[in-house]
This record gives sequence, C-alpha cells and structure tokens, in this order.
Amino acid sequence: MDPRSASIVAPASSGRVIAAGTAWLAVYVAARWAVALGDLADVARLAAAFMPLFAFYWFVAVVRRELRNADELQRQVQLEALALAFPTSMVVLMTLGLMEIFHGGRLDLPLKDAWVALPMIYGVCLAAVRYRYR
Amino acid sequence: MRSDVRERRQQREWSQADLAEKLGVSRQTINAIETGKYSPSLELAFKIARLFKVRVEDIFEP
Repeated sequence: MDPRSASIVAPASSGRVIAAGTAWLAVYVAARWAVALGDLADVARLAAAFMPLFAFYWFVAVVRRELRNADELQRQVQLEALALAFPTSMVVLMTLGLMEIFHGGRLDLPLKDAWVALPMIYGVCLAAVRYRYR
Repeated sequence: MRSDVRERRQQREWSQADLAEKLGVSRQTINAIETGKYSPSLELAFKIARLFKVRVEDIFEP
C-alpha cells in the first residue's frame, strides 16, 4: 500500500486549508481594523498593513503541503480550476477597469479591494470543476 | 474512457474506499474512473491492472 494513502483519502481542500484560510481572513480583518484606528505609530501601522501578507504566505505553504499529498485527479481539478479562474478573473477585472475608463473615473470603484474577487472566482471555478468530476 | 474497474471491484466485494486505499488515491478518483469521467494516468492504470492481475488493455478501453 502507498504510505501516503492515509493523507490522500481527503480532498485537497481539507480542514487544514480551510483553517489556514480562515486564519488569514481573521488577520486581514484585524489588520484593516488596526490601520483604520489611526492612532498607531507609523511603524506599527505599516507592520499591521503588511501582516496579511505573512499570514497569506503561511496559507500558501499549507496549500502546497496539501497538494503534495493530493492524488492525480485532485491535482488535475486544481489545475483546471486555475485555468478557468485566470481568464474569468481577467474578464471581471477588465470589465471593472473599462467601466471606470468609460465613466472617466467617476464610478469610484473600490479597486484596492478588487483582489477579493479573485479567491471568490477561484472558489466558484473549483466548485464547478469538482462538480464535473463528481 | 470505458473501464470495468467497477465490475472487478464488486467481484472482490471491495468498496470504493477499499480500492482507493490499496491504490493510494482518493475515493473520488476511483468514482471518477468508474463513471468514465476521468482517465487515469498510465502509472495508475498499470497499478490498477497489477492489483487485478490482468493486462491494462483488459480493463481499459478507449
């Protein structure tokens, strides 16, 4: 028996990935709150502003570890989900950008938060691909 | 790709989880192979054939 089989039984989006994603989201919300407080020193605000990056790096490390244990179908699902999510994200972000250009910047779209759409699109694409192989 | 993995598994009274454990893959992968939604890699196809003690072409059909 393959010694890795015990860790292969669960799909790649196991509890560890969800926990790491939730932890990163909590750090992000806390960082935004800390930066918005305004009465922190510049260095502390800078540290708080970039804290989500470190949390996200940890999240990526957890995902990489899970993917190493994933089997060939799970890897194919991830690859197809990314292949679908990338052009979909391009379309969404391009649409927002073109709308902003068309309206001469008057729409004031929250583009600094546009990245939030990327994991959401990826999640939808992942669910769609998983459904196909169900 | 068509295969008779399900028939051979059922003949041995193995569940999908049993076969998945023997092959070192997830149960979802076994299900996808049995329903023809996923074509396994050569490596996995040979593993399956070896497990059932037959040739690859006896199990899989393009």
